[in-house]
Amino acid sequence: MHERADRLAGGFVGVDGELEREFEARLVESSTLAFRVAYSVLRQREDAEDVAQEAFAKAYRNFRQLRDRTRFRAWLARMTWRLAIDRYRATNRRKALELNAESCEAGPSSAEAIAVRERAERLWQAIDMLPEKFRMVIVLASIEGHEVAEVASLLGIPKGTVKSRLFAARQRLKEQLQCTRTEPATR
Amino acid sequence: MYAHRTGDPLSDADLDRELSALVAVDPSPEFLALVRLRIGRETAPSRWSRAWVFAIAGTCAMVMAASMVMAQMDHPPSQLVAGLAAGVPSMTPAPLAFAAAVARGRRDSRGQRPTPEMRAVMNANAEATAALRRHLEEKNYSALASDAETYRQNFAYLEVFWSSRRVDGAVEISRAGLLAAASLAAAARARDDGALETAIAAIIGSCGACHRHYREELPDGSYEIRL
Repeated sequence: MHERADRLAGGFVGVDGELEREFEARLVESSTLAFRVAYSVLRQREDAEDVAQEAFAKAYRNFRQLRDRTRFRAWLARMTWRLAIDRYRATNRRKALELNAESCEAGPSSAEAIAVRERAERLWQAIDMLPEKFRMVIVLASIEGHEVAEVASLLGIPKGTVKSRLFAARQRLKEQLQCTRTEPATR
Repeated sequence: MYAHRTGDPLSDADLDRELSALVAVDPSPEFLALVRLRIGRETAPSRWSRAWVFAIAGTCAMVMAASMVMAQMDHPPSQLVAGLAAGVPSMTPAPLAFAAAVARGRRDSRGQRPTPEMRAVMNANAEATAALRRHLEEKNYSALASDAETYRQNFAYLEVFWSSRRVDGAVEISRAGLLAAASLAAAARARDDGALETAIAAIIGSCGACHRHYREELPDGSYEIRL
């Protein structure tokens, strides 16, 4: 039955049908990646979903031109990042960025929850202060536990470059967070 | 989120844990369905844009004309001119006619506003598509069987709709959709997740193919059926 359905759909649609199915498979495996990349820039669930949708629509339009389909995730991640940055710049909402909605929704507003939220806010602020090339590496490494090799593949840069950028990004983040942590003690 | 103790040096592992927690936000359950709907509204990625068709046709005509000139170089100028006058018009129509036919094909297709029934069917399909992935993730097989029944009824309606208008391509797509709906129902009964994925991809493929070929978005954002 499946074969017949596939054959019929494929019979009419031909190569388009094959592409359609391949794109659907890529969509399923990459949807969280695209959303999280967009979210890491925009920090707003609705905006991130909208940008990720836009990225998928763009990917769909140009899917045929992608010669190496195994590069889809890298292609999509870069496209989503660019679109998210463009959206961010266009709407200029950096100051209006709100705290991670998840932590707001997840738990009660206990002292612990507030502390976690503040901690997240400080971490986002520290990430925002990183140069874009560092930010992209550290965010991609954090999403879905990507290894250095995977980040290198996603960004199309050598592993050594990823390692050095990760090292530098971590150092800067630690310094930033260390500063904000020690501030109350010096008062 | 992981929170380290104040005063402790922040290790790479601590930082990585915090960063991972920070970006571990999932999209809404309907996100995939919304992406699919958005893609459904996209124009199909075309291998041959109209500009390319005309460019290639023009190039063919020029190459043929040039080869004719080259072939007749040994003849006196009067014969050359006569040959060009006689030959070029008779040769250019072939590729240009092909390009014109592609353009005419688009011009000849008629647009029609969807009937209220058609709109209802499309809305029901969109709702089923939005729910499909969620039902699969929840392993809600009875809901998936219900989705399959919705698709079965809708594709049956579409088959009749397109048959009455003698749009053979759309009839074929509707039939493929019907078969995919039957596959979905069977897979839901068998609780076979792999077969469900295949059937869902086939249904979405059918919807997308029909939208690309037989639906036209108007400037106001509404749609017309392309007959």
